[in-house]
Amino acid sequence: MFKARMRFSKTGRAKYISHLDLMHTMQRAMARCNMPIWFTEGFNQHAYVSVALPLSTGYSGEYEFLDFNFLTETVPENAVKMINSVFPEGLYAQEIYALSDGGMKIANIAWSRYKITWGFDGEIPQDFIKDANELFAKDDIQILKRSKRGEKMVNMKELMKTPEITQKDGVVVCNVVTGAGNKNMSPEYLTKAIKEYLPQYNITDEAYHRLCVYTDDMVEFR
Amino acid sequence: MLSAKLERILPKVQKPARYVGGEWGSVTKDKNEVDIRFAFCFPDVYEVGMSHLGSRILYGLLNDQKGVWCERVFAPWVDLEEHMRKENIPLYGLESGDALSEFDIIGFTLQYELSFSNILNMLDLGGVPVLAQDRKELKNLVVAGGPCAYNPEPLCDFIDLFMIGDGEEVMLDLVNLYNTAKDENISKHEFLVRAAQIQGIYVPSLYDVEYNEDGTVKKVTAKENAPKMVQKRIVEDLDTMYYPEYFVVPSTDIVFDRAMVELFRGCPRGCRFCQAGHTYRPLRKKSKETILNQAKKVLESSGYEEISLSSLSTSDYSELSGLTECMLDYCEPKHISLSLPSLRADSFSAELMERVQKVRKSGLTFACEAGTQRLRDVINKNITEDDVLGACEIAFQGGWNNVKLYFMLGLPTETSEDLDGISEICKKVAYCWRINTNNRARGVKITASASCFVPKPQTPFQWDAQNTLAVLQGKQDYMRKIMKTKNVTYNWHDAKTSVMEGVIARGDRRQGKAIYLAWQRGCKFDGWEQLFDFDKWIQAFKDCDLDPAFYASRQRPLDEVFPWDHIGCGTTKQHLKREWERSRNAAITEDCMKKCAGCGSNSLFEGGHCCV
Ligand code: SF4
Repeated sequence: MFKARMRFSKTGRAKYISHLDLMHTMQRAMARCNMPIWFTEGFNQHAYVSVALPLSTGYSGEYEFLDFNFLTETVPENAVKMINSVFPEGLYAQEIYALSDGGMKIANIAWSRYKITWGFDGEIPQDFIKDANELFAKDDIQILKRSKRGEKMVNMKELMKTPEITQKDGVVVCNVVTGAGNKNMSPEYLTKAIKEYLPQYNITDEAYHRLCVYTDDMVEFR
Repeated sequence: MLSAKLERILPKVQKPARYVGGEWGSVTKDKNEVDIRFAFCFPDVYEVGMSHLGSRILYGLLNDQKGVWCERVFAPWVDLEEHMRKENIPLYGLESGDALSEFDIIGFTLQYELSFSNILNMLDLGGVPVLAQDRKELKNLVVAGGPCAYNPEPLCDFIDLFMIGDGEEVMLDLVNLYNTAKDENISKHEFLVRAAQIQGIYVPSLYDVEYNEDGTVKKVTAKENAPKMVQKRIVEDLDTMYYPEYFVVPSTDIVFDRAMVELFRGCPRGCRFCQAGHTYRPLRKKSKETILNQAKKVLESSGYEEISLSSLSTSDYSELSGLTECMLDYCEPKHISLSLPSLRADSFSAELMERVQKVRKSGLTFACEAGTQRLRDVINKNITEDDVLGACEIAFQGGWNNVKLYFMLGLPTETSEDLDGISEICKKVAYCWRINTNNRARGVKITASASCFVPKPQTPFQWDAQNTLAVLQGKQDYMRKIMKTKNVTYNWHDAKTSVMEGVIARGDRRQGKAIYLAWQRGCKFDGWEQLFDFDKWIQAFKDCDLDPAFYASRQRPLDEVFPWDHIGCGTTKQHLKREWERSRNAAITEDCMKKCAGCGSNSLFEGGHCCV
């Protein structure tokens, strides 16, 4: 038995699958393709799977991770193909690999890169991109942030890197790296900041897509 | 595909996963390549509808037809509905996202009277006229089937035709006829006239109903060659009957999230309150081999970690022990658990229980239904207190500590002695645990649930008055006072819900107006306590000059013509009458395995023999 990790994407209709439901969905997909994975023992036996850094329901992502254990000596040939042939729409495995020496620790994930899409009723307002870039170029952007310990004002710039905001196919695309793990900050705070500091703009559509996750020194997590 | 408008709303509603489709096993076809688009509608939320085995079977069956694309449609919860109405988003099929109004046939499954208002609401939300008379074209043909179709009359204003009985064959006949009708370009009326010739199809607009002064039915006249009596359809051979090899596997939690295989249809027991027991006859069983085969296929293709063997009375399956053994041999190494619902306490064996619990241990349930032997004899629930206690003894010795007991209040001839009997049984079960358990420290959970009896059409109790709301509530108060045993949790159901169910269950077509009015005034999801508005319903009936008590709490004379007498459920009215008479003498009728009671349903078979 050895530890293994799957990198997968969760897009389209699958983005509405919640964290708990995603585990069930993964367990059942594993069963459908007879993936030789380890089950927990004891009273309530089930296929052991663990989703790293689960996405919020409604977010899509292409750099998601699932940890589990193989009962075989090596990763079965075709494992990626096998699982992809039994996934529901919107889930897609890119890679399945053994974690030698336990692999990178989930706890070491420190940053996520998101693509945020903002839409407007009709055309993109003329100065929006300029104003948004200016806003996020500041060193201090105070925002009311919710955490387990309650709400408090924080400087969101300490929890993110300066985004790149551009325009593409009639919508605004914001590429941003935000804190994950201990200094987690949801990308929705960028939308909140715009609503608060640039109230003249009325964003009607917002979508969040995770592009990548990194360790503290910005090494791509694996 | 999901529309941008919908995507905008989904983050704002509860459990959006139930509104998007795309699950494993859902079927997508090219709409330009199919002849018929069928919307299979379940008038409740996704979690409830997806749990229903019959719908899963028919979804598979229809999509198995090359020219048909069947999609699923469920009632959106009120939060989504509000947004949909505001943003002008029509109710849509989960597979394509297309509006209900784009479908050729819109089929509803009728599982529960209190979901009727949702049918109206779903049609309306889907951009389809609610009243059958306002739908002039063949397109958007609205059909319905399922248990409540055994008295379809309250829905006659809304539904173009009903399918009575097993759906597997009649559904295909209907689809074929629809295809022909489209090719020949005939009118909706002509189509309906032809459809009425298919056995098991009831076209309400081809029947005139006359009433007596007192409001009861005088006579029902069939027109345009429609049959006088629409006898239900049955599938004779369950071994060759279609069964899906795949299930849609929801990507979100539903009520019964597991694979299912049916053991047999019909029930040999004949409990007099039970509609299913009388309308699913004659008895037909699947062979052990077929069941095993189907179970394996469904489990392999779904990846489910649990399978239930379903039927109305699982312990009556003749090869249950052998079947269970084979199933467990297959399931155990794969960590799949087996559940056997509807086990009877009397045939409950320690051996069977121990085998089933090996993978996962769930609670035990016993449907005692009534508190005294006398009343159990009245309802023909042939189970004794000793049966229940004997089963409990084995269970408690085997380490179980979770037992559920089901009862009904308001059964015909019930007295306070019968209510006291319920509390007595619970006390005895609690005592039984104390002397049999080998781990008192772990404690026990005994749950007693009492629902209110609703007399159903096509049962021996179809002549009986339902207890009035006041009487039912009085009984509930009494129960709460006497159910004080330690370790026993007492649950009861809202009596108002049962009264409303009782009103509609034996309704006639004049009720259509009241249902329409109640829906217009905002009634929906009436089966959900938090949304059910009893007073609104009663007012709607009053405003239509209809008396709810006439339908629910009136004792009918034995010679009354019922609004559903022209719908055949297999069991004859004569048999039901005989059973009613026996019930008044607390005379039991033996089950079909011991002796055929002559219910008449065997005449639907070619050979005329029930397989018991
Ligand atoms: S015909 Fe006889 S054996 Fe068959 S279901 Fe009816 S009573 Fe039972």
